[in-house]
Amino acid sequence: MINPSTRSPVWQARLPFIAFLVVALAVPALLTSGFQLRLVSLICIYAILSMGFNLLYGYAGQIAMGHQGFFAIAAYAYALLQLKAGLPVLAALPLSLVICALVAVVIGVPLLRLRTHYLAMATLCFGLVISGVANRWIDVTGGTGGLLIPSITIGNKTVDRTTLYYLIVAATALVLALQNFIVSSHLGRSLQAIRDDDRAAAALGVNVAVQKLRVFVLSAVIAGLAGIGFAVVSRQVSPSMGEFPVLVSMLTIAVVGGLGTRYGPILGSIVVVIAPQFLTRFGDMETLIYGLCLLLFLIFMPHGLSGMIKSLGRALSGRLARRTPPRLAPKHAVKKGVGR
Amino acid sequence: MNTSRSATRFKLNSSLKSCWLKVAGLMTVASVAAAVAPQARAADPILICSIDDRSGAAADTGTQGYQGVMMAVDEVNAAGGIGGHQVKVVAYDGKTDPQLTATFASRCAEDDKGLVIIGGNPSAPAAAMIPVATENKIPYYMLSAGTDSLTDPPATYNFRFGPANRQDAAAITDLLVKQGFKRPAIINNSLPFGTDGARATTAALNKKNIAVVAQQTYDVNATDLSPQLTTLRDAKPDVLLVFPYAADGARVLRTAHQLDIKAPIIVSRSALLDTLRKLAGTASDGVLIPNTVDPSRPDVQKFFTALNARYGPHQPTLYPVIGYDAAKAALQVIATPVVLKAIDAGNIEDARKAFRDGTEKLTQFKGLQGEQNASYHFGPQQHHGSPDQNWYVFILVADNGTRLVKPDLSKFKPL
Amino acid sequence: MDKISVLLLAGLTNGSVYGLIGLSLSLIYGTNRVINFAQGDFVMVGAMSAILFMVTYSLPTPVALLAVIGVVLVCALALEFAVYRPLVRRGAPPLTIMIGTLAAAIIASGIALLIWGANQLYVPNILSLDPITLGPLTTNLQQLSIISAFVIFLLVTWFLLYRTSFGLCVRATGANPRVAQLMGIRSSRIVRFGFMFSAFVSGISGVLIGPLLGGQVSMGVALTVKGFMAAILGGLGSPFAAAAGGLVIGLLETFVAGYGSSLYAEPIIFLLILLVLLIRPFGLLGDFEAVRR
Repeated sequence: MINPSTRSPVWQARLPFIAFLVVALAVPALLTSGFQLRLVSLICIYAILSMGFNLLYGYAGQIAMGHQGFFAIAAYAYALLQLKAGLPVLAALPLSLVICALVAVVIGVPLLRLRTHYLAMATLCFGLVISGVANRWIDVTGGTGGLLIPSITIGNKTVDRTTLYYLIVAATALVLALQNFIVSSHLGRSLQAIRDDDRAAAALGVNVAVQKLRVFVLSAVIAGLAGIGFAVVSRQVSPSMGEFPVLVSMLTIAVVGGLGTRYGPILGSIVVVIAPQFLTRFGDMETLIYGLCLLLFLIFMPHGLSGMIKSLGRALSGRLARRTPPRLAPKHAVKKGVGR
Repeated sequence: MNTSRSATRFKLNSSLKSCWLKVAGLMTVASVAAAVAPQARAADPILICSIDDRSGAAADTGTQGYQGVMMAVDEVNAAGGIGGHQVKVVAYDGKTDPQLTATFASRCAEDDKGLVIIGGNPSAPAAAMIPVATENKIPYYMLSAGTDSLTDPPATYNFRFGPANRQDAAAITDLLVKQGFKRPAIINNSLPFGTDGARATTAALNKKNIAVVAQQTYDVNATDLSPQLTTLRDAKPDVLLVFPYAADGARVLRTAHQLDIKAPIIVSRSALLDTLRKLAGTASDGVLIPNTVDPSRPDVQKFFTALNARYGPHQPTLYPVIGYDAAKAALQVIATPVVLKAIDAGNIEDARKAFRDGTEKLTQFKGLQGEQNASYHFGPQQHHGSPDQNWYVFILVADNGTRLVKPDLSKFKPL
Repeated sequence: MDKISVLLLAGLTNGSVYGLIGLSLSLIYGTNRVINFAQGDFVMVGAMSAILFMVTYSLPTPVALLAVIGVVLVCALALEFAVYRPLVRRGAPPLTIMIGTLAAAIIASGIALLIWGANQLYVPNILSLDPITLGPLTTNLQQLSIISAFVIFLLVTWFLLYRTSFGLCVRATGANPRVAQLMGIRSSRIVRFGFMFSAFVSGISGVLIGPLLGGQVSMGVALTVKGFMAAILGGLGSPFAAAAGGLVIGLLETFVAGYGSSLYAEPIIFLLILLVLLIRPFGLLGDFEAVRR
């Protein structure tokens, strides 16, 4: 007999993580084709991207619409370091992330003074600059055709798709663990304080500017990692990685999955990557139906899938608990948005 | 009474809610099952996938390419199919999104078990399918995507039926050299089509020692283009080369007309599309367009009559023709005994490999592109089909932009 | 000197387009602090409906214009009732409402795709496209009409906001919605006005810009982004700041293209906007917003 008041929050946090690991590791055995494996790899990659965005917006309350720029920068750095500088994968990967972090610091220090809509637009500008340059600097970036990335080789063998998938799952699990760790740590609490009211947070001793910069750089690096993963899966870098559709996907995942929740990004990514595959049967009506579904989601499930699962869980455990009210309130209730 | 009514309502509500939950659960299970379960395949039809952009920025090109493919496939199916098999086309709309296009290519190769992918008009999505084709070992016939590097060096399973940007540039350059032009000016939009075209043409002109006297880029959404055209006019060119999309091309032509630029104008393929000529009106008269489709060829005329009857009026642009030629080539290769044997045995990998080898043997495939006696030339290291000679025909715009006619090129000279 | 005047006129024309969209965006923002991702789609609907009524149904121009305005106003109401109201009623944060408008933009382009197809279409021009030469400048009536529409709408907005009591209510709602409600102002009416007037401006802009830019169902996004930039550069506080921002962007674009690199003009403009935001975080003229905070 499980009494919710004795169930510790740590166990509650670990269970979904373990469930995710189990499902992710078992997936290749369940799927029948490489196409589906590719889809699941994409889910993980978008999940990583969204976890970065989630840390920045869901937990810290800073709207940044430029993460697709970091998605592209890290991927291009990775490609160029390999193609032009001839570096091996093990060197190119961390170096690209470092480049990403540096750009994030340079952009972040001045930009994070801005608030809400202005921050959103300024970061959008940044994203547009990156995509504009990627399209026009044909000599370096290969223009719209982009650059082809050599496949990863360990020794002499090319890494096959399943191994690549496991690598991506490992990266996702790492980022997930990192996110969970941050959220339950001091940094996470100060970020949520900043989100709710940054002046009050400053009054309570939180170093707002430094924490904002930290989470910005961290989320940029996470986005960069996702970008490298995407480039490796598609074997290609192209300016489309820094353009609007990626931003729209990121925002959609945040909303569909649930803002400021731990597993929202993963749930949202599942929906956003799989949905277009189902929608192809609608032919011309696909765009319309996608928009309608998004709108319905927003209206009827404002806390996203994460919120719905939580309320379902609460409803079920409420019945199991035989009307014993839980002593601990759900720890990760979604806080309502920015700038009240 | 009240309590029982509200209790009933409560029961109804909760039973409705649980019913909804059950339905949602069933739907989720069903959709997951549908996604994961292997597709039941009819043993008979041969599958060709058409993956192109049909609703994004380059939609006309993708739609026309698809129509060309359907014309060829329907012809063959009406004649009884190939070796007893009907040919089926599975169509995906890539929406100019490279990632989505590549995912569809992957889906075609692995889920649908297609034999060949035909598609790729805008460059970025076309390029995105190349790694998928190489990795899945599925032949990929690329249509009009122009970026040179896509077939140079050639990928193992990728073949291109449309002309490359450098060939467009070479055709224009050859015409300019032949007619004695020495001071070309270029204006292009900031989208990939414009910048790529401008770059390729500048390079080709430089190779023939002709320097471009001025080059300007403009944003597609800029309504007033007089700054760029005034700069060009001040450079005193003897010919103007334009690389636009439809509406901005019309603006360029009209502004050039307004600014009294007397130099003759060559516009890239986009002028073949109706919208540009309609929006430009009289300003588009006298404009030359490089085209790989010769509208005076009787077989080309026959094709367009049939196309117009089925899909509505079309100008003789290269997009449906390339789709048609690619599909015809594919059907011809499918009809070879090696490929048919593998198909009948149900071995799709062998069929694809035989198909690829068969394509490399198409050294002299006659299609509708190019001049009457020209043909595609494919080979083991030659995956780019369009030859460098006898491929291009120039078209003149006339009658307030409504008609495309064959020009008298001797009249096209510097003023 | 000639070159500068050509650049100035072109900058004014292009800037009027961005300014009109920025003006419409900030009209909505001023009433309910929502950034409308679907603003460019109002312009698209205006342009495409012009095609529908003038070309397909061959209605006489004034009737067609009224029909276009009707369609655009219906879209505004649809946006308000289907997106804004339900989300606000459920207490959604501003980002969610913004994504709601994004969903609305996707729906609008999806419906437009079904009606008009994906290709770029010819939009009939109301005013003549024949060239008019004024010294070194050449333009045409349609382009001049854009600048005049811009000026007229600015004046109308000014008059509405600053010379009528209704405008006073609008400004009050923008300044502090709760206190305005306490004063007896029905904020729902104000919000509806915001949506409808903004859609009206955008729709008319669409009809005027359409013949120049061509009509394609996917044209909304790029215009929305430019409109955002105009509103942010000028400052979200007032419609006039946004309009001024649009002009600045238009002028910057032409001057950078004219004297600098025409290829990199667009990224340079975005970089400049970034830099301006760093120096003046609330936009060039955004003091109103700064005071509020």
